[in-house]
Amino acid sequence: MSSVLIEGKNIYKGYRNGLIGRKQIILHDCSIRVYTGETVGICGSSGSGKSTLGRILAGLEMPDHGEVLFEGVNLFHATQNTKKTTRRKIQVLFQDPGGSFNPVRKLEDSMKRVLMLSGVTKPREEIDDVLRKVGLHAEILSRYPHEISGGQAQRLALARILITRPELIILDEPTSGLDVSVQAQILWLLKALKNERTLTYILISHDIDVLSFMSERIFTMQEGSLYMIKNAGRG
Amino acid sequence: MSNKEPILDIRELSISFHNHNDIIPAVSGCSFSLQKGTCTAIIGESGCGKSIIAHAILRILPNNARISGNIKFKSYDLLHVKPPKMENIRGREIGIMFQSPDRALNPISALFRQVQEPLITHQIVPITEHHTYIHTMLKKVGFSDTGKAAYLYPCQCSGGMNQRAITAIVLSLKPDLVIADEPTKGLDSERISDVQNCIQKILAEKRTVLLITHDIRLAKSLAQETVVMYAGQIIESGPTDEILYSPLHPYTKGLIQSTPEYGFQPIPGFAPPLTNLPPGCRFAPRCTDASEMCYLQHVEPVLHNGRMIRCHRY
Repeated sequence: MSSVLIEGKNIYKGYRNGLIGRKQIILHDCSIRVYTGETVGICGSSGSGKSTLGRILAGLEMPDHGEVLFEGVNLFHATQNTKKTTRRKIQVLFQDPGGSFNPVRKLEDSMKRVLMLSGVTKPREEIDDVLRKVGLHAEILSRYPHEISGGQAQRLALARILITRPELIILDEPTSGLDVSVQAQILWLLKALKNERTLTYILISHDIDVLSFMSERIFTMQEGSLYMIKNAGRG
Repeated sequence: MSNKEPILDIRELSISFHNHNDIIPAVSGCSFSLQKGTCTAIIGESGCGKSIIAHAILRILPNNARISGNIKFKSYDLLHVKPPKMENIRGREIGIMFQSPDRALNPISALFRQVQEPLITHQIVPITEHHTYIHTMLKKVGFSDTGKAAYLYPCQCSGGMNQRAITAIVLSLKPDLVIADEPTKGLDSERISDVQNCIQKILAEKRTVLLITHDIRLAKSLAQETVVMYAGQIIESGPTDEILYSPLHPYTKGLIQSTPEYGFQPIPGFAPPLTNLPPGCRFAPRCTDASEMCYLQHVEPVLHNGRMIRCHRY
């Protein structure tokens, strides 16, 4: 039996509407446990709090209450060094891949910057190898973000993530802006990469077909709480 | 196909963009027509030229675009209509629903003001009747409490409410043709059904809809005719039921196989860059049935059992 990779415990999160407005509760006592090598899907309508939970699990946002443990390390109360090394193992693939690249820089600069910020030194051959894995040619790096298609941008965003050798990827609506044929390519690519690199995915989507195709377990987000609706992988 | 005079008739439309070093042929020799009161869907991958056609119809392409061919809307030759007349046609006779309603609305105006603005520009009803007219339009698109809805700002509305507001704006001008450009892109199922209802309301008023989408289910549910585009060309067109249930072109077949119903089977490879198109069939490098002729010889569209198809096998 595989071990628990990440666990969110009793997470509460709310946002205040303006300075004196009432606090709107987004997440209400959410708990989730994700095991190494599985894909867990989270569905729900727009504004239900799926992405907020994803950001909290990635350590990008503090919950009001509750904790997130990645391989047993509390993401919000660890020492700076532990936080830094732990967070590097968690990456997020956002919905709008084009928007995650600097529009005035060539794609090569955007790739290099990630490596520089994460302190990873990779030879150019390794970058080319990752690009090949996601089905891209190294030539693409000489282009600007507006010169590539949505599908290519999503593949490149995935390549940028893979270079940092993550253990967990949080996929926040990774195919919702893509057309059906490109969506199918990305979903199969994600499946192949998961098997090859023993990755763990948390897949956030409003498309139940995509979630059923990809995930062993599916949770639905309703009024800020999580409910399991599919459990094909675990008793 | 009906023998009636079409409301929109596009013939041999070609659009290219001239940049410093490149000429990008975004649309090549596209021809199709829309019958009054029907819905026609244009489907295809991102970047295949679907939205460019919509922008050409409304003449809102950037200055570096070069257009040839013919776009006939009712009695107007849209590519040669003078700018003041075009301003009148745009909105008043041809309306457009852009993708992302939240971004298409003015964030600092209440919905009432946003519906009123084009009414003033196009002088649809006397100003004294604006109040009643706007509330009627908001009611028609599904706002139950129009007194409250009219004074909401876009940030106070859900995506579905904003979509309905956009529909109210489009419908208030009573256009004969409505272009819906990717109206469901990135939306959840609830909001998709909101969009579907809005388009059905437009069709119920006997208006014509040009639906640009990559959502095959939406096209199935709304459109009588479907046009499939690939790399700037129309590769198949005809009645929606025939195109989507018994496709002929290998690309259309691949597109349908990519849907969840068929287990997300992807089409191998990528669409060719528009700056470096293959000399023969543009789909040949990805086609499993391609022969040598497909790679080398340009393919012209032909009529096959009442359908237009661009493939060497027919």
